[in-house]
Amino acid sequence: MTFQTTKILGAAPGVQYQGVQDNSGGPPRPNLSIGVVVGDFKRGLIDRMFPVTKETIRARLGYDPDNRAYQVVQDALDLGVPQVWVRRIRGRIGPSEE
Amino acid sequence: MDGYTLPTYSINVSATAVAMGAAVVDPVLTISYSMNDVFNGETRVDIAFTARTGVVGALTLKDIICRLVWRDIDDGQVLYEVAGHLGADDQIVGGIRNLYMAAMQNSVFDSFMFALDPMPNPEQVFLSIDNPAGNPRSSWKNANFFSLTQEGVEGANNLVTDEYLSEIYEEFAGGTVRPTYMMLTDISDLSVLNMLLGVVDRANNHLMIELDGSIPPLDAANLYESIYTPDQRVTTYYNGNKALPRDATNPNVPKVFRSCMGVQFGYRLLRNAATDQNGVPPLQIPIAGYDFPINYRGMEVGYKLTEAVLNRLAEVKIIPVRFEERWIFGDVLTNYSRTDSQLYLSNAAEIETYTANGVIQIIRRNLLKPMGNHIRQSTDQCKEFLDQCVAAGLLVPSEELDGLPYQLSITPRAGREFDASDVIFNRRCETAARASYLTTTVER
Repeated sequence: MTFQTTKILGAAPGVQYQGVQDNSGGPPRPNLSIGVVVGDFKRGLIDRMFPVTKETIRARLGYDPDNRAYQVVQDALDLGVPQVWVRRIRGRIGPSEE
Repeated sequence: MDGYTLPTYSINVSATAVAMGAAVVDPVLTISYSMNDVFNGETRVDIAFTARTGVVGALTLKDIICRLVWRDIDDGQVLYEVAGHLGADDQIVGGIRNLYMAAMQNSVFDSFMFALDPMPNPEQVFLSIDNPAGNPRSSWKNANFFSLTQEGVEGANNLVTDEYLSEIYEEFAGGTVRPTYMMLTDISDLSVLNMLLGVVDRANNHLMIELDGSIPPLDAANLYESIYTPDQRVTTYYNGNKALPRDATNPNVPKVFRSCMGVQFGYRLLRNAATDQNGVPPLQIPIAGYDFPINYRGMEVGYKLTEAVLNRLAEVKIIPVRFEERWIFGDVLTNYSRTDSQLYLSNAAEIETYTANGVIQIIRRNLLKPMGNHIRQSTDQCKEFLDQCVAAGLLVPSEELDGLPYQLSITPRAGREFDASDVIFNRRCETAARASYLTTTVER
């Protein structure tokens, strides 16, 4: 039988080991990659903000090219931003009011 | 959800019909659900039934699989999808969950239930309705999907309640995903604007506002002046120029006023991602001027920005889009009211929040530790972080700080030496040139 490796060593011979303490990280940094468009969209979750990508914008928000809030999302995605968060502030029926 | 009652939909299925609502006589299956996604009516839900493959003997309810697919009416894109069998909740058959359990995997459903009454003969009902003349289908490829319109919601415009805004406030200021930038294109509802300004105060982040470009610039300035908040973390944009619609396929279609804030936001995120070797973003570069063009097709002047108009826009801290060799963001102003302060410049304002938030984050990480560790580690980590900000060019030397770019001290607080520290952090942010005074002569 080999010597025991344990988290709290008793009288018996063995090795006490409580896992590694990680000191390798640097100071934390503010995250500057999250932007949320607050607006009036045709559809989308109303209970929380959600990410929209170039591939999902039409399905998640409904095609709404005259809506300025939709344009903001679309333009940012066109510029190469991988995803834009959206927070729906109102629901709406029918065509854009803007 | 607080502050709003979600609509509930019912899909009824009988041996001869499938319909949304109560139009079906003697339904044997009723699926009721409410969703956190409120549609405006341009959506349909498709429903189909198939039999599980490889079943020996008579089919039971757990062998009948129901699939619901929500789609965009125009292009058929799938929005949400749920498939599950109609057997008991706790049964997983061939890797397939019960329909209710499958729906509950998707957080879009606020509620979901299905009821079978009376207990039907599966083959007689669900498969005969799918394929009355033939054998039960086992492939979705051949399944007969019934398309039902999920009606738009009357009253969906009334989502803005105090409770609803409180939820958003808590989400932005205290949620797990906290936005650095919040963008608003409609300032007609002051309760929304006030809520976002509250988030700015608590989360120390930035609010970007865009005024409607179809409004003449002086009217926009007057409108904005009435609600203006003198805060360096708020920036306001105005694009009174026209361009072709993004998806225009013909150059002769009428040009429209287009939003510019998505471009501003996009450039900011791209800049923020261009970090140096220490991971510090070049926030000293303001997103304005020649290096950050707006490349909409067919841009042309909508409202002329005369000298008087430009002065008026600057007075109320509105950044216009204008033509200077190319279409650009024509200023670097924040909403800060004092023009003798660095905080009325957008890059300095971003540096101010970035460095403050960085220090706050480090202090928070070192709370609830032995006091000695708290002081030592907070000081070391803050200095490392701020030295990196100096190296990146965010902070610059100041005479007021004895020629240093920042001063930091973290010490036990007098009177609360055992449980509190005093953090004093002074810095000088990089600024931006937005004016130049030329004096010139000719000489003999």
